[in-house]
Amino acid sequence: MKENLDRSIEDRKSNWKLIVIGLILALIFTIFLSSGMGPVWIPLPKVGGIILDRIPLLSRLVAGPFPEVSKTIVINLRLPRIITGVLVGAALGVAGAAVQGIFRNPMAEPYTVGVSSGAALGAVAVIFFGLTIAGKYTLPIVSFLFALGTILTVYRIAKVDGEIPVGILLLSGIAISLFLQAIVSTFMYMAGEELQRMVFWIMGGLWGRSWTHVQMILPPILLGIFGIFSFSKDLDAMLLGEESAHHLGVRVERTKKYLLILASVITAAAVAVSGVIGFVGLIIPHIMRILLGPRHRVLFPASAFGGAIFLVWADNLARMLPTVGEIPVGIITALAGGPFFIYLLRKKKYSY
Amino acid sequence: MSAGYGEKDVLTDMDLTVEKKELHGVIGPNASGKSTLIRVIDRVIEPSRGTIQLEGKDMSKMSKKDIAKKVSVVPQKFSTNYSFSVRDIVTLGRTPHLGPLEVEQEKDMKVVEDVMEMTDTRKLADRPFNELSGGERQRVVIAKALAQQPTLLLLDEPINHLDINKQQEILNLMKDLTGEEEKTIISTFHDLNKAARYCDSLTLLQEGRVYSKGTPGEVLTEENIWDVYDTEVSVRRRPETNSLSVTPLSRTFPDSEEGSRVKIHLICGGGTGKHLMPPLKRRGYVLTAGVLSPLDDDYREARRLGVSMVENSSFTKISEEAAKENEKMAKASDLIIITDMPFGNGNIKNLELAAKMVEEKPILQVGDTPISERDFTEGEAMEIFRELQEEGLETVKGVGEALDYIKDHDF
Repeated sequence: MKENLDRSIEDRKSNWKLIVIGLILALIFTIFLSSGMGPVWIPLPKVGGIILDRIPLLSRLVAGPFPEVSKTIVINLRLPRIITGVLVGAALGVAGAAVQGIFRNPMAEPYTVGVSSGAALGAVAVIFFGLTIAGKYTLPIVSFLFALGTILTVYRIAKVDGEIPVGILLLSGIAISLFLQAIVSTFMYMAGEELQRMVFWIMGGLWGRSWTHVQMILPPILLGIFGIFSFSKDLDAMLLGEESAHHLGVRVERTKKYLLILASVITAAAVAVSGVIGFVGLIIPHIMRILLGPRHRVLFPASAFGGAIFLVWADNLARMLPTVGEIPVGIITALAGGPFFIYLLRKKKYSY
Repeated sequence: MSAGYGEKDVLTDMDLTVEKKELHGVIGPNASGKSTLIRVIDRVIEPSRGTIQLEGKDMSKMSKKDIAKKVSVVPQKFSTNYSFSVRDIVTLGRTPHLGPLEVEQEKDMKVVEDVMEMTDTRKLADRPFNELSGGERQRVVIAKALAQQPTLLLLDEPINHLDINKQQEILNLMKDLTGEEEKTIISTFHDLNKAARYCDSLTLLQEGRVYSKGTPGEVLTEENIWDVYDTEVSVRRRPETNSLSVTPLSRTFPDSEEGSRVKIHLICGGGTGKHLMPPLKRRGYVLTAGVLSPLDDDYREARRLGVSMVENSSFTKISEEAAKENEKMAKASDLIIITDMPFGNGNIKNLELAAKMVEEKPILQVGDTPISERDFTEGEAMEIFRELQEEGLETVKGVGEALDYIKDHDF
């Protein structure tokens, strides 16, 4: 009995650690490899050297100097875009897992409560009116604020006697989304030559992201993910139904409220710099749940790393495919996500 | 204590004490408030009046987490769409004992393994919960509840939808828990025989009130079941198990002689008379009723049973003709029964009739809701009622007492 007990605990722990460590390594590998990929190919050892050279303690390990051109390409062009991808992918993965947990609905995703429609309206308005209050960062700032305004509105509508029934929340999210999308369509209809910019933004892309973008979204996304992670156990209990969670001493309404706010903030931050990238927040949590089970303590970090890896690779494809220009990465994620989702639906044994 | 949903109280004036280490059963017909009682003890809903105390402490002053460490619940329905293993589910029972970022320690996993041992679910530990049978699932949910290490365990109809052998397993487990494990259990039951056999004490609910409480022998009497379930039963002690056995008798009676000559006129309304009609009718009394309107439950019941009655259209005052007709029926009867119905300007004529007849005919009131709570005429009804009382209106509480009263008096 005692022996058995030890083993079962050990199994859980080692499983948990192994997979998270594996994902971290895969992510680091992804970042290095992706930094070498592009019109100018830079071999992996060189990329490694250039990146490590920039990290205070590790710079002693590498033998420089490296050619200026390669340095500029890696540090100033590719890396900020990749890190933005990492942050956006992680945010969407975690927000997706959280929202699916709150709604206990496999079709829920970070955009379900209207965050993306709000952000899109903000972005389209900025482009349409040519707003430049904050220079080239006007668009991300305005779309972030619009996204948060939307979720607050949806939340207000869904609130009944101080409680938010998830069914009503879902429906009011959809209703507000449709309404905002109509306004977005109106702007696009009248946009004229700015239409392409709008479409490109709505499809979602990481093209031309700078270190400033990274600095803007790093704090909210990291804090938000950590905040969501601290609700892991409560959300586990809520997967058994809200009343069961209540029986386990979970303050259900408070948990729902905080998780919704945190998920919306990180989603809004992600959308503000990358546009509406679909399917990452929907399918990554599902894949991780199939691999690792529904417990959020594991699911959240796994979805963060999984989302990051998936989005960076999708973006690599977007910038490498031999087309006229660059494809919005949202198209790639949707192309990969659609068939996968159909596969999920057909696979009988998967209970999410 | 009273409690309910929204404005409406489902439970009224409950006063209930459960002793430690006792298996206490809550019984009563559907919608009598059994599940609501469980929900209010676990504070899913708050009492609208009164308090609930746990070991002498007011539960409204305890945090949710602290309550969850002392009270756990096995709900009537438990399901999850997620592929949790059995051990996952049971481990979730440790939630109230852990801080926000705390991971289960060895001592928590020890509790988990212990309660799985206790509930005989260890062999299922790594199986997906959703693939288990009904009986296995119920044992796992009980294990989860036990992992909370509660002193009080609440179960809502724990043996519903289970095969007879699985029912036995669960009941024996519950019995063991109150014994060796020193837990206190409050459980609702549909099955009166199982409740009689396994519970140390029982509470019988009727429409959100405690109708009777005590040992199974005190609660499960033929009269109580007749009153609450509106069903004739025979209660006998079974020699094999030395427990009470409740057997329903046939619902259709041969024309009983005891009442066939007696004519009863029932003045009721607002659903206050529907419980009275079937038993009276079944005993063979000749029943008339009035004045009722078609949207009333009492009207529907009278229709169903073929009771002749005086009708009046809904939402209008009782007409002169209807009142006359009612008086005629009342005069033809041997006994007038009036329920504790609400009175408004529309139906005050019903009460006036009773006052008019009180010198001529015996009148019995069934139900004891005070007139002040059911007077919607700004005092007029209260005035007439006082008159009625001075003339010697007799009042009994429920159906059972009413039947006794009629039997004891020679009409």
